[in-house]
Amino acid sequence: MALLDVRDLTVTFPGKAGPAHVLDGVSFSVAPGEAVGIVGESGCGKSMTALAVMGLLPPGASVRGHIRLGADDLLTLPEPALCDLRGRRIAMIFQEPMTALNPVRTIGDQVGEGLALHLALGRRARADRVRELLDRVGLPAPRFAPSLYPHELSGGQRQRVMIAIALACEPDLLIADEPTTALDVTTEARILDLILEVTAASNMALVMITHDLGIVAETAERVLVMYAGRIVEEGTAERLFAGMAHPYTAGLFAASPHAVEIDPDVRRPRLAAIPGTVPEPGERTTGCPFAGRCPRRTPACIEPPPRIALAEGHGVACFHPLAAGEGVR
Amino acid sequence: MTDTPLLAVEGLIRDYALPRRRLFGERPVLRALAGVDLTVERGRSLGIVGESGCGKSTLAHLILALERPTAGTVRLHGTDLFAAPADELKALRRHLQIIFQDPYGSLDPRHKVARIVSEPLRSLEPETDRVRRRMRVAEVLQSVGLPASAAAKYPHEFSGGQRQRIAIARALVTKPDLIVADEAVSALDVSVQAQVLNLMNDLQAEFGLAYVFIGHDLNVVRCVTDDVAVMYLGRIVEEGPSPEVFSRPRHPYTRALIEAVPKPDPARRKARLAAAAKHVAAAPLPPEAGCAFRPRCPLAFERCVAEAPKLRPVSDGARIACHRDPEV
Amino acid sequence: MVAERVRELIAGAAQSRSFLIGGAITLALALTAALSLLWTPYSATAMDIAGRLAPSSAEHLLGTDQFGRDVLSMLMVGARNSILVSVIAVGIGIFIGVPLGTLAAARGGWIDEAVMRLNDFAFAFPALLTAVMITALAGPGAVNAMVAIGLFNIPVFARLSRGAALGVWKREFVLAARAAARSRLAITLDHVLPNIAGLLLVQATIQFALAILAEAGLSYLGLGTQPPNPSWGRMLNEAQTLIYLAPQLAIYPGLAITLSVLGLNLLGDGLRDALDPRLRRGR
Repeated sequence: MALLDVRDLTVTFPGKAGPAHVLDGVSFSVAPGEAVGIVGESGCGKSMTALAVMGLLPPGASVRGHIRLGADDLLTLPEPALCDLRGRRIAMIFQEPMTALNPVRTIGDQVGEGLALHLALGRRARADRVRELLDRVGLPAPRFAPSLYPHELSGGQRQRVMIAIALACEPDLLIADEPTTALDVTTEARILDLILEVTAASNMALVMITHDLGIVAETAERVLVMYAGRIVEEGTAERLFAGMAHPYTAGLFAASPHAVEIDPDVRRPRLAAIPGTVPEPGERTTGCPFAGRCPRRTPACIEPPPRIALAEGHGVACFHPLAAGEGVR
Repeated sequence: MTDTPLLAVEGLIRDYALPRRRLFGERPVLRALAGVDLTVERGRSLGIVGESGCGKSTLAHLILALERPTAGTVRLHGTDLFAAPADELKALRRHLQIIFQDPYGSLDPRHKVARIVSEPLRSLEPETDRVRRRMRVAEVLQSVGLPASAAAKYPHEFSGGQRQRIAIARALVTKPDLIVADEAVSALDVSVQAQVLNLMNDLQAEFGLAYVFIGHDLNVVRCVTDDVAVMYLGRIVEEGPSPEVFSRPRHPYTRALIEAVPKPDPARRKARLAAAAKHVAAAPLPPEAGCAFRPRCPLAFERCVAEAPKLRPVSDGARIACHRDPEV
Repeated sequence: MVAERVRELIAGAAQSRSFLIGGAITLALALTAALSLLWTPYSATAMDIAGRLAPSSAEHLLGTDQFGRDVLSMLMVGARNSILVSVIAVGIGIFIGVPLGTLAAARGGWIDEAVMRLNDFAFAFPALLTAVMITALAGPGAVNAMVAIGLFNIPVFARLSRGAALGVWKREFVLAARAAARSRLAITLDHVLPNIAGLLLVQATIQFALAILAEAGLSYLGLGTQPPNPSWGRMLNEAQTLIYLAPQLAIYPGLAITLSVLGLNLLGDGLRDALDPRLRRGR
């Protein structure tokens, strides 16, 4: 039984030329304790998916489909019940540790807030638990007292506080939306380690949202590749990285500077860029959203692409998926 | 060609005064740059890599003479930017341009593209008349792969990658010799980032430009540079030809940087899970004396406490600031 | 391009209810004042002792005062006087305050310190009381009232434009302009002013409302617009003694003042919402 089950999630915003589809029929599920990565570029809908699950979509959005957490459908749940779920069963970490913390309240106060709200702990028990949580995320006493304010911490340390807040009520699901994008590489590595460690230790499911194929590979067991509001490819990390089938996944991989082999004799290697840009939500058709930029495009691609199961736990939405080992071009 | 390098930076130090901790206390000083030397030859491209707080953006601002250093010199074509009289500095600025990180913040939202791109022309080459200016704008827009019609639009009508092309066009319009790119592709999506990096390489080949390319992502820097300097807390800790430094990093910090970058290889997840419990703690504070990287260094020994290492040559034109033998 | 920016701002604000209501009231006020230049039902100064304190009638729509002057005509001309005084007072504030503020932001250092300390000094005086003192010393009259009110608009605009300009100076496009050797003045004119124009416009509408209030206050005390020129503030003053006999004489100018201030504040609010995209939704 899945912990989180998202079915046909469609989110539209009113636009000048009719409703703009930000998410278009997104379906996926997350098992208890599973680490799922959602990867895609800006505008692909990955953050919108997270916000929909949290029930935090901006005003004006209209939502269709189902988001089930256990037995509850989050889309039909009344706001008070949803409020109770947020923080207690699902927690979220955001990209900007600078703005996600309240600058005028101490970190101890902010870590303890959920404890008071959801677990109704007394002051004494709360203080003990806050100390425990700060230790847990690598902010040990006495250097990191709960009486510190966010501006007294570095970006990485603030992200640790965010993780402590998320962990406070021991949720079943942790959603991390680009948690390391604003951080330095070495800090990023430590924060990813921390997220992996705390979720694995308490059997917490993780949804890792990122634009970086490297981060999904290193944190997720299963990967969803999103493009223009749809899931274009999904599979276990092993299978997907062994044989990327969607031309977009393969293109994204090839365009990344990481994909270029380090060769002591090659200066300034050339990158395989994907031409064009992601279509705006208002300009999307029912056909393959990647067709406009795809080197394998044929006239058939104006139709909605079929979902093809390639192997156990590996599927792609494409008319012309790449065979295993085949290059993009 | 003469022997004078295009850009020569010597002994650059920049201190910032921090707010007083007590009402009548001394103002503490933050040393953002602690003595940096660099040269860039014509048509070459130098990468500066480091994490936030390493002084790379301060260095960019000093090279562009947007700030004054506490000590040291920046010479362009042999002329010291900070000793030159105002009109000479203005003349030198034609050869010196910049591209910023944020494609949204670096273009004035109230100006049309033609005006944005021609701004350096209007102030640096006032002798150019309107017709010539318009032609130059059309030329550079074409060079960066934008249609001529872009000139009549506002920045908000363009995507992030296109805006960065506009910023590059603005930097190219005075036909500079040196462009400083401060995290120029960090804010872009991967597929667009590749387009812009390729464009920058093409433009360099076409116009014989030199770049100082500042970035935090080693893999990105590798793709546009001939040489690279790795900075840590205001100092260069390793420098050398890019392929050399990236394939055989010698300084423990450079190694840590390269190792830390997440790679699209699911096998690394297991290694990470296994090792994760060991590195959960936040990074320690840098020490007052000795090697700044010591608290994080796996190879630190007694000498690193007592003495800050100086840059010393190792093989193949590479230099490192480390007491340890590079092959350890 | 400032004009373009303002047009864009107004287009955004047109979706807000407070902007539409405020705009309608302000427009009505302006049209009334403009009309009074060409036509009023009666001369605003013509007395008719026989027909004094007349109630509303077809002849005198809002009745007459204790000297038999037509109240509607007086209100119309009063609107014109109020607007004139306020426009000039706000104008003084903008034309001195904005250059000072942007100069302080552009130069920084001791110039910034000097301008801002001077500002603090000006803020330390209670504005209206000092305006009373100035008009009392320099002699009552519309011109002195304008200057007195205008003087206290200067620090408001100086502070606002300095703060906003400092924000613009930190943006990367200004760094790019500096790298292109543009002068501080050129950057201020080309980049800073267009980017703070909307904010200044909002503040101007709010200061305008305050100026109308201040003018009415000064006239009420007999220090503003001088007789026989009608003004809302003096109409209130003159109605005071007759408050039980003819309360409508106090009510009409009071309503006129309230409505115009309300209209301008709503207008300012609407513009402010349009400026801040975070507030724009759901109004």
